[in-house]
Amino acid sequence: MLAALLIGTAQSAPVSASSWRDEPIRPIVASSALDASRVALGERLFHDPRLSSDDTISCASCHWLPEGGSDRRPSSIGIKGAVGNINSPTVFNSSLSVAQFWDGRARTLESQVSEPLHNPIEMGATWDQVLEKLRADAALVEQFQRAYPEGMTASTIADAIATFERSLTTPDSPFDRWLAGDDDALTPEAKEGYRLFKAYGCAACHQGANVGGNMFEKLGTMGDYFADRGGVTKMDYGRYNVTGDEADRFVFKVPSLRLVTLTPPYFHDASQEDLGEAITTMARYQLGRTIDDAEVELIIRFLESLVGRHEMLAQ
Amino acid sequence: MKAPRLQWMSLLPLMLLLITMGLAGYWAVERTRELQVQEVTNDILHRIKQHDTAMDKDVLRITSLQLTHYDTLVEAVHSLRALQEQLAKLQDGHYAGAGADLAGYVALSERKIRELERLKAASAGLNNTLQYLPTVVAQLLRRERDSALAQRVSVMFSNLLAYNLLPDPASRTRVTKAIGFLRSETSPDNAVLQNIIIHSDANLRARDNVYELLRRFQDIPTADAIAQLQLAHSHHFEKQTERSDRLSFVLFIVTALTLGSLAYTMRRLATARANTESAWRQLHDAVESISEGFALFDAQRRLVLWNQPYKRFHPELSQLVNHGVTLDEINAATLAHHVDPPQGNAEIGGARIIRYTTGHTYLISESRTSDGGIACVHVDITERQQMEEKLREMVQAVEQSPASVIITDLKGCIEYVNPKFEEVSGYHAEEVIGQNPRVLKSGETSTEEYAVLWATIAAGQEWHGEFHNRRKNGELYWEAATISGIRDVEGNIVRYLAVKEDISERKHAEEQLRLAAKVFEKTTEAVIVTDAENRIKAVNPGFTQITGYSVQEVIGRNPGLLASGRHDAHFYRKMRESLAATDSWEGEIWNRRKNGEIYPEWLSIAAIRNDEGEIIEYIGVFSDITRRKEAERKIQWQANYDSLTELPNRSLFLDRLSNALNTGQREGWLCALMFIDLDRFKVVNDTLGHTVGDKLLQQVGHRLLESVRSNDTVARLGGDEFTIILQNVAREDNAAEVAAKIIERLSEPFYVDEHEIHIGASIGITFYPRDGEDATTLIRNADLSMYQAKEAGRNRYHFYTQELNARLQSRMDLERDLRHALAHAEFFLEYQPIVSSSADRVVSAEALVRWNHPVHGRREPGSFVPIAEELGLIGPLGEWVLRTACQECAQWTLGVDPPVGVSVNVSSRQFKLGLTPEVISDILDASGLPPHLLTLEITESLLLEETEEALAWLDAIKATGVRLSIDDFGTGYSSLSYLKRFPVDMLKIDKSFISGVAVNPDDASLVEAIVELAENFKLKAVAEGVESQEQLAFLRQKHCDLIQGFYYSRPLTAEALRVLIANGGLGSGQKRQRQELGGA
Repeated sequence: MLAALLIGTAQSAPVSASSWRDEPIRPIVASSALDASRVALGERLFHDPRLSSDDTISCASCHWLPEGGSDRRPSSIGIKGAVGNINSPTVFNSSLSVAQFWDGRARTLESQVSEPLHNPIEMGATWDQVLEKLRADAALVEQFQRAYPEGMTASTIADAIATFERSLTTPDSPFDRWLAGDDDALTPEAKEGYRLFKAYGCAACHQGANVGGNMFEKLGTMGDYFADRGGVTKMDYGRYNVTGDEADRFVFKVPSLRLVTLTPPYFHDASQEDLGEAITTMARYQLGRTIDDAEVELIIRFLESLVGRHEMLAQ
Repeated sequence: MKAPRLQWMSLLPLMLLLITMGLAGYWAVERTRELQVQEVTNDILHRIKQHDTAMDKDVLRITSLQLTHYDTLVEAVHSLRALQEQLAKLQDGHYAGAGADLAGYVALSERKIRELERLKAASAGLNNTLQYLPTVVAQLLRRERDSALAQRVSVMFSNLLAYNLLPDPASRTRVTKAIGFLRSETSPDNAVLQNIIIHSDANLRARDNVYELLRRFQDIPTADAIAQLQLAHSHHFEKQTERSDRLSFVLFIVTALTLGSLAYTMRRLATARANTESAWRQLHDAVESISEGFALFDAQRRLVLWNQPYKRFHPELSQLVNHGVTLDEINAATLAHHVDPPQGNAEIGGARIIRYTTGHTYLISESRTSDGGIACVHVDITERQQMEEKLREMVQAVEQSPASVIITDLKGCIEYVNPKFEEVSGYHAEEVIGQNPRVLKSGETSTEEYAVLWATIAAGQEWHGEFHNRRKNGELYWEAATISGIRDVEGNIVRYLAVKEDISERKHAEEQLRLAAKVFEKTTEAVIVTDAENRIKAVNPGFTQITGYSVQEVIGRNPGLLASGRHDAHFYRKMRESLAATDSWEGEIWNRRKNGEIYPEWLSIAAIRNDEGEIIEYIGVFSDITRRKEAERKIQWQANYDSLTELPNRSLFLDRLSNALNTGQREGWLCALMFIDLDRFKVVNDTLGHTVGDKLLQQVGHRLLESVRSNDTVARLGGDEFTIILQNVAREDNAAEVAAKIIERLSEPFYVDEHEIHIGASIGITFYPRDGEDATTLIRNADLSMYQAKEAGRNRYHFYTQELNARLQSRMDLERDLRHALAHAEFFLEYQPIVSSSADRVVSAEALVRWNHPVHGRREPGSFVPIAEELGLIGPLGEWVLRTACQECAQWTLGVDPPVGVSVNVSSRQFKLGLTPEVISDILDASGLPPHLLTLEITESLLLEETEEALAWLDAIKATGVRLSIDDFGTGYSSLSYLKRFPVDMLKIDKSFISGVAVNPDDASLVEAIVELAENFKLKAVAEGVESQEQLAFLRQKHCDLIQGFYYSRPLTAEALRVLIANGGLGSGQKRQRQELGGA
């Protein structure tokens, strides 16, 4: 009997002693145990345009923290005005994701760093170039010496940025307070919106602490999104570009909805500017149903309640 | 010459010593590092295994929809990859042997993660349909209420839920079938219905997909691969250990060599010194300075040198000891003082212990010197002997001690271990003597703790603590140890003594207790622990959450305080018996919360026994299964109750009826069955809408319930049809009273949403056993009576009567006779000629079936064909008609030119009853009739239903060469598009139009249009039922040439037709004559 009990609870214990409501959406727990000196270093690098070849673009250029960690453009602008080919997602809460990028090609935040750095239409740089420029900055080099035994290298730069990104979580949203038992944290509309969000099946994919981000799903499970939209490009193949597996064609990482109200436009192709329209589109292609406007409004009320706090996020 | 050589000689062992120390140092460092790597690797593999298992478990929870988010899986994947990376680094740095295994495992793990991602996506899809379907089904049921469609949707959905709960192929087939039925349904709200179908399909696909993916996921043998890795890892380290063992053996050899050479050097030195005078003096001094007794005899066994202790040890020799005395004289003198008799010959070169009468004991060793002399060393070991005696006793105690005992030197090298140590650690004494106790180290004790230990014991204090050690077989165990210094007489610590007790079991128990306590606190299931007298000792927060009782409220009380009263003593006795017999009980039980609410729980009880086998406590674990029960109840309810009125539905009604009949039969009761149909309900529904109609039905349900006794059954069969089963009525009058009361109650006005509604009811009543012995008969009779009541003018009740029965009987007779008729050749055919009016001759004839009933005489097809169709008899009957017509036509057209064909009616039912093109070809072959002389007449309705299948059938028939004609053309539907699609050759204009052509302009224009249409489509047109000259004239004017009807001829027997054809042309003037022929 004891053995049975032990087996029954072998999965990871709850993070906090307090009991959360048992819901598909989990609260964001503030990131802890991060090395403060590395976080500070990462923050500095995150805003450092020397990571780009012509000293014009920093990480923050496309992941503008005060407004939600994205740039609210259909595609980001890289060096020399180059226009990207996919919508940049928010950097907030990205540490909670199963992988990075829409197609999940980076398994870790660390390995994510060098991609935009090398991308000719983003930062267009090389590590050698960047290291050469940064090594000329004595103060920065010294800061590295203090934070890392091996000093400044490509991998410690990536580590510092990733560590900083791990600090970018948004706990304490009204919804999380409600999860913690505060019945008044949500308006009746938001509560009804959440009920609909579950009843319509949205919560099957948008779940967990990041309300998404922890799985992959095909865009268009109940309808042919791409046939209707037309103009399919390689970017639209999604995860297929990573695995080469036919089953992964048009499969994308389910995006997080934590800051969705702050980060238009929507979808990898930025095809929707309006959140209500985006919900309607999702209902049609992912859930195979229509949701009327009044209910869409309620769901938006719920989505608004997911926005938590971070000192760098304008409230 | 000698001095440098000696120096060299003494340097060699020094160098060897240095080399030995260097090697030993290297070996120790290497060994420590290896052990660390081993520990870290072990730990990583262990954690990989944990994450892998956790992942498997979470996947199961996801596919059974118990886990609604994927965060734990993402964490598991991240952790697994990080650990794999760590492992790869370790292997790169330290051993490459298991590299291939690791790569293999990582590849498997990545495959598993890929499958996991698919599984997550598929489960999300499944989740989506399951969350959405109830909403959309409810939406449809709200609108459709009790239609057959609603019924089918409910049934499908119940089956679908059941399949999702308990998947098995049979229930899957049921669901697929139920969905198939829905496809052919239409609904006013078709979008909702289509949505249900789409999502039900999607659910099935997702369910199957999830199972398939789960199977694939589970087939990936990561657990095996991890086990392989662990095996490879332990093999590797075993080899490492072997290497270390070899190395230590080499070290031992080197040490032995070193010591050997040292000894050699010493002897050379001694020899050299002996040769010098100074050496002799030095020796003398040296000999005097030692505490042992020493005597040296020369080769002639004469005493040459002795020291004071020697004399002191042997007071009996005080007179004797002097230069020149021989060893033998001395021995003889001392022998008398020996306590024990001499044991054998005292061999020179050995050592003896001799006790003297003086009470002293000496260790005497005599060894030959290089020059043939004898050196005797006497050591006073009296004290030591006594000590040893004591020690021996102590050693005995130590040897038999139930605790492990280890004695080390000051550096920590093991000098002694007792048997208990060997037993506990698994190491033999010889394996560990000379080793450091850290061979037992598991890595679980921190370096800080060791530092504290050493500091404590080095300071001469006792250290108490616990070690987490590793046995030789790799098993970890816990020891409680007391370590202290062993002091010599001066009080200096010379050794360390560790007394250790294996406390693994205790630790294990503690660990389990700790875990259990954690589980106890965290689990959402309620846990309750009672003592043997069933008094509550502990409950967890889960208990409080479910029952509402706090810990303080229940401690010391009997769990009976939760009893709901729903279970009888027998139930609890069974539980106690099971506990006594098997120490466990598990089952569903209803308990009562503090707030009085009764709820179902799933309870497992285990009896816990002590080592003596006595029960010391019971542990109960239960979970609140209210929600599950509700879901089960809902499914059950949906299957048996009408969701609108909450009355039993058809299936429960049938069940109740059969129960009522069984009871009635057993008890000799009279039972009444009523069929109630609401009058004017349809009007209410059509004018005020479904919502009002639905509310009205609910109120009707209430009034019906109020009109009967509580043990009678009121059920709703669908629409506005209700039934009532009255069990055990005393007289038929009582049923009539109830019926009258119902009519009265239902005639009172209803008020629904400000509408005042008046309806009424027609009731049919049957009695068991009078009107029927079985449910089917009773239901049919009640239904018939109800219709009769309706026909008689509504708002009344009707008993089942003989007249009704007679009507029914005659229909049943007809059925029976029909079956009989086919077997007894009671059918025959007549043929009505189809005439070309311009050529004035018979071109074809339509075969018409007749029945020569043995009692009722000749019967027309209208009185039996519909019933034959209903019974499925139209299959064999139709085939008989076709076969006979072909045979008879072949006869009448033999030798006739142009030939005269035959038309045969084909029922749309025959399409499904096996009239295949092959059958038609067989019939044609058998009769010898050329296919183009046979025309099959089909009705428009066939063309309208199931177009694709029907088209394929008609095409296939057409391919046999026969002609096709559309019968009763114009009576069906207005769409003529099918004329293009179907391969027909001929249209037969329905006689209802023909009869009006002369008087009704509408009919005339319709017929004209049909004739034109036929021309346009290059089809022949045949006018049926032509009876008058006027009709014929009209048709001729409109170029409709082919005429069938009494005007030319009534239907004739085959023989009459043959004669008519043989007589050649058919003039209009001969019409009457021919009719007479036909009538003959």
